[in-house]
Amino acid sequence: MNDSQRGNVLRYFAVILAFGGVVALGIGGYVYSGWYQIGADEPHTMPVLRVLEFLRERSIERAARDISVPALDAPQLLIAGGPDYNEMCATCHLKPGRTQSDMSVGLYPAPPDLTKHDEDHSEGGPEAAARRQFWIIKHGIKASGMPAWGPTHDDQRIWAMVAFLQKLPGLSEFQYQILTARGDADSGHAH
Amino acid sequence: MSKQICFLLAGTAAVMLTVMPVLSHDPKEHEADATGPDCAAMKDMDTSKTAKDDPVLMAMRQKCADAIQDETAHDHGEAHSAGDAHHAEEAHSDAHESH
Repeated sequence: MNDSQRGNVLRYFAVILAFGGVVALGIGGYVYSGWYQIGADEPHTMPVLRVLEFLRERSIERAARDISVPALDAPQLLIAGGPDYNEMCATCHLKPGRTQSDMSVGLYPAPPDLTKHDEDHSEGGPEAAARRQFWIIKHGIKASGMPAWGPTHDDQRIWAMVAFLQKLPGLSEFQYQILTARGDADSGHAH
Repeated sequence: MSKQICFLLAGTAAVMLTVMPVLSHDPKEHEADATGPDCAAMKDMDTSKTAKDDPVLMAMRQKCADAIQDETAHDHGEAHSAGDAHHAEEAHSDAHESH
């Protein structure tokens, strides 16, 4: 490579660097200006939404990949998970016979309606879906309104909720009522 | 005339401010559901097409069996305590009579 060619390559990189600097300055200036609407009653712009959704899905997929899923078909798990779901989740994620709530309308991003089959995350099969649900319940999701239940609930209790979630889309209102009602014997939920 | 309009606007605003919060929020939204399982509906449930080992059906049966057991124990306890009260009353009146 002679001096002239070397000069061209350097010029090329300098242009790229300058362009990157201008873009970074522009983004930094926009963030600093405070013009971005952060209120939950106004949706994200499409590029921001796409980036955040991609970030969320990649992060959950990577973090949850090594979780081993126990058997989730035991009736005892449904009996344990139902009342917890009703008290901790149904306000945002709804229940059979209810199509919206204050929280489901007001939160942004809107919490998924867990009474419906999740078509968006069904490609990995039921085990991948259960892994994902367990991780989200345990760790929560930043800036979404989804809390981390892990610090106050052990894994067994969270798996019971996951087991209940597997059956929730097929439940009728009266099945839901029976499975989620807390009897006298198990009314000691400390929330 | 302008005074009347001002009064009318102020009145409308006052009514709106009073009524809107009531309309916008259903207090039942955050009411804790403290009722037990409604097992009476299970009697009418058609389980002919459901597998006997269906976890949902098994969980419902178990939950209702527990609820009936709790209820029976509760009733039995009430009857027992009512009996105790009756016995105590009798013993009390006997004691009074012996005085």
